[in-house]
Amino acid sequence: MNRKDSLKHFYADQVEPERVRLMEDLRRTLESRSTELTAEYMEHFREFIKEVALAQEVRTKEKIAYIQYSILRTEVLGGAMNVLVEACDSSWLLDRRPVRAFYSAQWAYECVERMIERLKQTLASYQGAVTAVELEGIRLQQVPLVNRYLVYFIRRCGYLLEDMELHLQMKLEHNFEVRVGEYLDASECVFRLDQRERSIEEIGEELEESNGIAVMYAYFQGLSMSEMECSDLDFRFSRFENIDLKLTDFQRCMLVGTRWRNCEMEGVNFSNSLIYGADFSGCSLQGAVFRGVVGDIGRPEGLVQGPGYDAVNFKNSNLKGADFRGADLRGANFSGANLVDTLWSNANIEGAIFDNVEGRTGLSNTFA
Amino acid sequence: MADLRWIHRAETEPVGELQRRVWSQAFQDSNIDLRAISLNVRGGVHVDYTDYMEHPIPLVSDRLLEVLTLYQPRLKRRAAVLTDRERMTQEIYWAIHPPELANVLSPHTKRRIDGSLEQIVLRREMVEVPLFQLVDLRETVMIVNLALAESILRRDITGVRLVKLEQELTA
Repeated sequence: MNRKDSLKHFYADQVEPERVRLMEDLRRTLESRSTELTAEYMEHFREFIKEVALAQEVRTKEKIAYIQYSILRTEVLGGAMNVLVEACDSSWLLDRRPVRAFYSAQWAYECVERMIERLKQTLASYQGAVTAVELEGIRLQQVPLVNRYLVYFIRRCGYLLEDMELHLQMKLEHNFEVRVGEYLDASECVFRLDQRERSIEEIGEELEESNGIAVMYAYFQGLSMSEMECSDLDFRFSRFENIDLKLTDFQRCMLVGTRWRNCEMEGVNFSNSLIYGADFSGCSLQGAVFRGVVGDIGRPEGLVQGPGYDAVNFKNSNLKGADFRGADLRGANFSGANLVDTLWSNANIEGAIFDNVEGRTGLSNTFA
Repeated sequence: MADLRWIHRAETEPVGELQRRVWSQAFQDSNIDLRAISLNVRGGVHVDYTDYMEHPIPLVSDRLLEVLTLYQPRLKRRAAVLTDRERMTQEIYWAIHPPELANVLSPHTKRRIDGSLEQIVLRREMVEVPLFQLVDLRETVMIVNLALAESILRRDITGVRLVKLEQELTA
């Protein structure tokens, strides 16, 4: 075997399985140290907005529109997962004087380091074909993967920001986003606070102009959308607050990671939508139609890169008379929900949680 | 700077100091000499052609040049052909000449006794250029900004070693 072959063998036989173990390690770290890491993050975030508020007080910074988290490979090479945090005005990446800080994601670095250590154990059998340079390359190659876990983690922490009244703590533009991603490159929105007062018509116009992008990662509040036709749209990771959604039509929509708060959703139609990780807790969903929806916990098949989805959450919601026929809702959380007169034929609800549920009569047929 | 851990990096036959000066002078002239520089590679058991080589002049591969020109479209460059006579192969590289900036070092820069640089500290109020070279008493150092450094690392480019520099905190 020459050197090229042994390298190929090393990547196929050692690096690939280790990558799977790294993902498992990251998932487990996030799960077992969740409280501690969240507290650590929130501590960092509070410190940071204090700093921003201070800069605004002495007039070196105007209103903030973006808080951008950028993972830095230069830092990874230096032996730490320090994520650059920048508070920018509305010119975003062109803002030359952002307020800067670092968030240390040491938990993620430790996972990568453990993987590299495990790989080092196997080096002897490759007789020097795999060099230290190669290992460093492998460490850098894991960064995009780690980034997805970081997005997932900060997005979950972002749920806590919802109740923080950020606009009272620092001056914000009407449209404020927290984004996580690469430095001066692709990034993903993980939290949005939209204080623009928009009417349905304005949102519709924006939707048409942007070719469907305007309603992704969006924040809607205080609207009346009852009986509206919203089918075949992509609402991924959007947040709906205080919205009248009676009999609204969401058929075949992309509703991954959506959050619904205080919405009146009687008779809303979600047929054949993707609702991975959606959170309907506390909503009134009487007679809602969830026919053929897909929202399993974990990773969908065929997609093995990055974190899986959270369980769909129906905690304490009123699902009286809802229609779950043919739905895939493995692991979903129905605790405390009202499930009187619900329809379940052909639904897959393996591992779903049904604590303190009212009216489980229909369930026994499918889920004895 | 070049990553020293590549043991089998392609090496060219030694080139005299005079010839190096001629090449670097050619970049200064207004009408750049467009003829390719021809270099011979020393033979060895196996040779790795890394994306960046420092000797005898800074050479970058096509891939790396592409990244650099994203940030500095007017980067001065000239083709270089590396010929391996033993194996009968030729590789094309680019000799680059980033702008030379003067007056970028802060007084806090640490030097060794012989005047070479130990720790570089950049001045706070300097012009922002993504890529430039620092011509000092004893050595020439290539300096990139954070955005370019991240781009290089993101693209799996071999043979480059980046060292973090410091910048003065107060003006």
